[in-house]
Amino acid sequence: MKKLHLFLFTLSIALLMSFQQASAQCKTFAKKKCIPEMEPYIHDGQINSTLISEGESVELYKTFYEGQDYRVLVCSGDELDSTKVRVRLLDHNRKVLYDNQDHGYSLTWDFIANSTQQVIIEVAVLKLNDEAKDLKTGCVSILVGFLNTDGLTKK
Amino acid sequence: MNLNIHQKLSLLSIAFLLFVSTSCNNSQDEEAKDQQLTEQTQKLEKQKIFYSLTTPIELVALMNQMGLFYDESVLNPTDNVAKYTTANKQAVNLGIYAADLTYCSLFSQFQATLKAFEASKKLADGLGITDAYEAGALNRIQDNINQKDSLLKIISECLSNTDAYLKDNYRVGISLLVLSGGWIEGLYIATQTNGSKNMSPNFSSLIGEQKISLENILKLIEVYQDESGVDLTEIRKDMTELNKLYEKVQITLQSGAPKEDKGIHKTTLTSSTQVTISTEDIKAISDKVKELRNKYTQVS
Repeated sequence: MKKLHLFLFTLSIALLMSFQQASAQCKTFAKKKCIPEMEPYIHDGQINSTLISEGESVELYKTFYEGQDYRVLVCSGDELDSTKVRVRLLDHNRKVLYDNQDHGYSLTWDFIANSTQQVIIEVAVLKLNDEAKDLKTGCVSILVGFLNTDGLTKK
Repeated sequence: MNLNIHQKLSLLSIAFLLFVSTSCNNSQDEEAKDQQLTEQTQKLEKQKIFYSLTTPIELVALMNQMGLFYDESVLNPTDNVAKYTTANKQAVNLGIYAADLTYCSLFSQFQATLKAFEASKKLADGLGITDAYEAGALNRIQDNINQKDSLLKIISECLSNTDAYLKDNYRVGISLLVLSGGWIEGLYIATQTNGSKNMSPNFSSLIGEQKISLENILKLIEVYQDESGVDLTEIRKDMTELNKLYEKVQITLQSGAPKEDKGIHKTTLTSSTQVTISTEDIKAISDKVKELRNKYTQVS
């Protein structure tokens, strides 16, 4: 009995450690794999990564400023099928402004904001088969970049 | 009191056992606390909602595009850096120096950029964020001092290294303080270099639009105030006071149908926003931002 308890304890510690390691790797993965794809846009410096399973979704609230050019880049880990990652841009009333389903599930898209507004970037990993028991889990990162244009004046 | 060797050894043993027992308890308490923080952060991650704040690099670059002036006197003196000894003070000022770093590098001010970079590095090291501001980045800044896009990319790397490290280590409260400090400094630079009385309409709108950023900061503080392992009481009080001044600012959004250009993978968001902010509101906000920024940079 003692051996069983010890085994279960060791197993749960190992699982917890592997989850934490996977979560940390998620952010490292974003830095290595995704940021280089932002070129020529400048990454805003925030890494929004999480572990996500098929059938789940994640939302990022982001302010787009008037006249600015933005790139939204979604990266998914190799564990997930990137053609099953759906990206939508919603306004504050959750009206759909963009849906990557209409664009071959493209994971990169650029936006120009004619006015300042808060948008919601929704990323969902589709579960094509409701009966599927073996749901895949992997990293998803949402990154936003902006284009810089100059107008500098020195006092 | 004369003790024989056995009594001395007994006392030593008791002291040792007490020490071990206390150390273990402290260690267990700390482990339990760490575990609790990890679980709480993972619970929040399970809600799968992120608020992306306007970062110092984004805000300062945005203001630059509107015609910002360079004025070295608005920078936080880098001599202060050694005196920021608490984690909260280091975090807020790391954000402040990140905004200063962006500001002076965009004006190709090499000496000021160098100082802001070194100050940021010292604070990042103090917070245990090693390698966020690596020496190689400084050499790259020097090599690209006249290439503004390259400079922004280098600073962006430093910020994303900081953000990734803090989130990896479940120090979201510290990350929030860094971003709040950078946001306050961005607003401070904008209001001090443009003057609140003769501010251009573009700048006035940008100051008013920061109402959205402030609401997001407050939402994040609400989520993490009891769970980040960092005392967010002061920043919460300060941001709430600033938010009171922002209550008078009105932002109305008129929805419009987006226009897609499939050829270049680009969508134009056509909705229009109306920002109503009076000169008095700008003055009150500017004064409050100045008060907060001076409080954060003050050496205690």
